[in-house]
Amino acid sequence: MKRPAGILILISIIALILGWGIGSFFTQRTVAKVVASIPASPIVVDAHYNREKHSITYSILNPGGVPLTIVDESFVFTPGKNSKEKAYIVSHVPIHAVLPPGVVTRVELKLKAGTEKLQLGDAVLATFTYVHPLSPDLYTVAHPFKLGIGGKNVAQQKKEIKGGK
Amino acid sequence: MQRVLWWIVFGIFIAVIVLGIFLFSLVIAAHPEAAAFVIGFLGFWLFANRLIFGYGGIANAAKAFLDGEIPDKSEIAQKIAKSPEAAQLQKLEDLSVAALLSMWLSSLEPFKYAYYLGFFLVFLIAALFELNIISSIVIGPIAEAVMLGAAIPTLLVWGLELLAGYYVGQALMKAVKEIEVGSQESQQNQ
Repeated sequence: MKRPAGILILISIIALILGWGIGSFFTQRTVAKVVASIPASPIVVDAHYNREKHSITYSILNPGGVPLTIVDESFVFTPGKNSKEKAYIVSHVPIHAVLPPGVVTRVELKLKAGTEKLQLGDAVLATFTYVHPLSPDLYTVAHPFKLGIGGKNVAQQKKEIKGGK
Repeated sequence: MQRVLWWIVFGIFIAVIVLGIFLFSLVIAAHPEAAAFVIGFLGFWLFANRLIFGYGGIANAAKAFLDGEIPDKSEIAQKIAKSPEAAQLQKLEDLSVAALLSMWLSSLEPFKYAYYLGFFLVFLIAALFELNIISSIVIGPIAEAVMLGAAIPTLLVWGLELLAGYYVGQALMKAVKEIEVGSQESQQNQ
């Protein structure tokens, strides 16, 4: 660093890198805001049967940046081999559960009162209907739950879209 | 007439300030990072101003001295001393130009250290957020934007400091050579 030209070249290179950093920072922030404004579909990451309350607690992740609201839940009960209970359907139980962006929220689904406790092999197919603030449409997410060893369930999800209100 | 003009100018001035605050608050509401960037830039420029113009002035004066011009000693003495009277009492004008320039350079040292300390703290906070040692979705990007805004005047200060240091070094070498040549000549004359 013996000549002023060397100093100026050094400073220019650092200034270019700094400008690049500033530009990419603001681009990244803009893109992050755009992505966060797109509503995502909720993901049921876990489901647990609570024997005392006779209910299933679903842990639902909202991976997007827009809050979603579950407006109603329906479920289909299918008995397994061990159960004496008959199959039944409970539809459109109105609830109001807000799923904040980026976090896992717990939603409780109460099974039909007066029915027997779930046995191994019993299956519950729950359907949650949710809305987001950007459109009046209703969306659903269906989650099949089968009471198995260690409370594990079939980790399979279906998602379908119902248009219109 | 003058009074009326004064009031008109005053009204325009107030209107501009109000409009500026309004626009700035709109920007803050829409893009808090952009506002943080501007605040970081302006705030650090405020502290860097003395250093930027100080080092710029030193580099200019030293370059002029190297090119053979003789800068005004009393002007440089005023930059070093607190007041012209103090400069007179300290007999700064009796010193050579190169010595005055190097004194001016070292008089900026405390400001430089305070400035770099401030930038380092801002950089440290931004790095803590960036590396997720502290995490906040809201404050993290704002801390980084403040750091990026502050980095611009810091780069200017650093570059001008290097330039001023280089030119003052050259000026000192030139002055020392002149003294040596002068003493040799006087010895030969004797």
